[in-house]
Amino acid sequence: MVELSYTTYITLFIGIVILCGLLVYVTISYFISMKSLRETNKRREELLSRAQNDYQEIISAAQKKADGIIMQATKINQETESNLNQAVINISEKEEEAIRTKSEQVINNFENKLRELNDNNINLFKTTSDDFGKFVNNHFDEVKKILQDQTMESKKLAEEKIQGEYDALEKELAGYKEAQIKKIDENVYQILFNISKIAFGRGLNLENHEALVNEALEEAKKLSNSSPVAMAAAAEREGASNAN
Amino acid sequence: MQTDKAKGTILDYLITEEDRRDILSLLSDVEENLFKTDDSLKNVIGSNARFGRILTEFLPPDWQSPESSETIGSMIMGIKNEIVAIPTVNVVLAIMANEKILSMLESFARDELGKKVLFKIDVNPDIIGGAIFIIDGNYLDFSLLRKLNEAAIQKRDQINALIG
Repeated sequence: MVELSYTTYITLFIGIVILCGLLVYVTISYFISMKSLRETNKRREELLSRAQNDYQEIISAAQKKADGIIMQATKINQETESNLNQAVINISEKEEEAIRTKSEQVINNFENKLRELNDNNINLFKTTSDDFGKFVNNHFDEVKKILQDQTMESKKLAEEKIQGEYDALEKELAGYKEAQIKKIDENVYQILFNISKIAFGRGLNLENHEALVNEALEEAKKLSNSSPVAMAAAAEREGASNAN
Repeated sequence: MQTDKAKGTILDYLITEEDRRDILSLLSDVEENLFKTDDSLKNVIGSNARFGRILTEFLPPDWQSPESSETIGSMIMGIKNEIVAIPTVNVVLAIMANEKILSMLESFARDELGKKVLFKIDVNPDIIGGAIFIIDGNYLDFSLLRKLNEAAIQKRDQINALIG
């Protein structure tokens, strides 16, 4: 067993006393803090409750004000619309009246002008008709003569035209005939050639060909007799060109 | 052209341009094979059915012996020169020339032209019959076609009347 000194006992005692004191202090501090916390919570709830009441009041006041504004605006709108409708009705009535008046005036003017124009036309027609009648009566013989002259002129023109057409046609026919004759004339050699070719091509046998070549040589002989020197000289020139 | 008729020179056997080409070709082949010791010369001459036999008639009898080669060579050169110098007469016929026609042409050349010529023969059936000669640009038309054309010109009015 360990034996402790006096000092140690004293020190331990003092330590225990200090610890007890600290414990008391902490306990007291805890209670004080709890109390303070409780008060703080209570205060916060009071403030929250007051703020809620204030908020409700503000909202209620704003709602009332808004309702008032809307009510006023609706009232103004209704009044304005009513005034506007009334104004439109007033203007329409005036315009309608003005148009009706103007239309009646225009119709009346048109009827008057039409009547006037009709009367003028009838007068003019009557006058013209009378003038024409008078003219015809006064110039009947003259008109008759003019018509006769014109008829004669037309007849003459027609005759001339027919004669012209006839002459042109005759000329055209003559040209056509001449062209056809020329065409036949040009083709006659070809026609003859073709006919001869067909006829002789079928008809000429070897003996005929030999006879024709002989005949050609006889004709060439006659030619060479008339100019033998020229023919020989020509053959000579051919020979010279071959040798070169 | 083959003939058994004896003639003075080998030129007498030539009538057409075709004959000239054929004989010149043969003579050139002979020259090429003249100094060969094998049977080449004999074969060359034997291969030309048209002028081979005729040529041998005009060669020396010992033409196959090598000693004759130089003589034959100079002889051939002379013949070639003569053949080349023969003038040409162009002829147009309606049919291919047979032996009789060639003979007639040959006689004509000999009797009328008085010298040897060769005929270059063209065939044109359009001339119908007869012949056309072209000598040095001179056109001598003795064809049946020309005669028909002349008749047509003379009888034009009558023909027109018949056709029209």
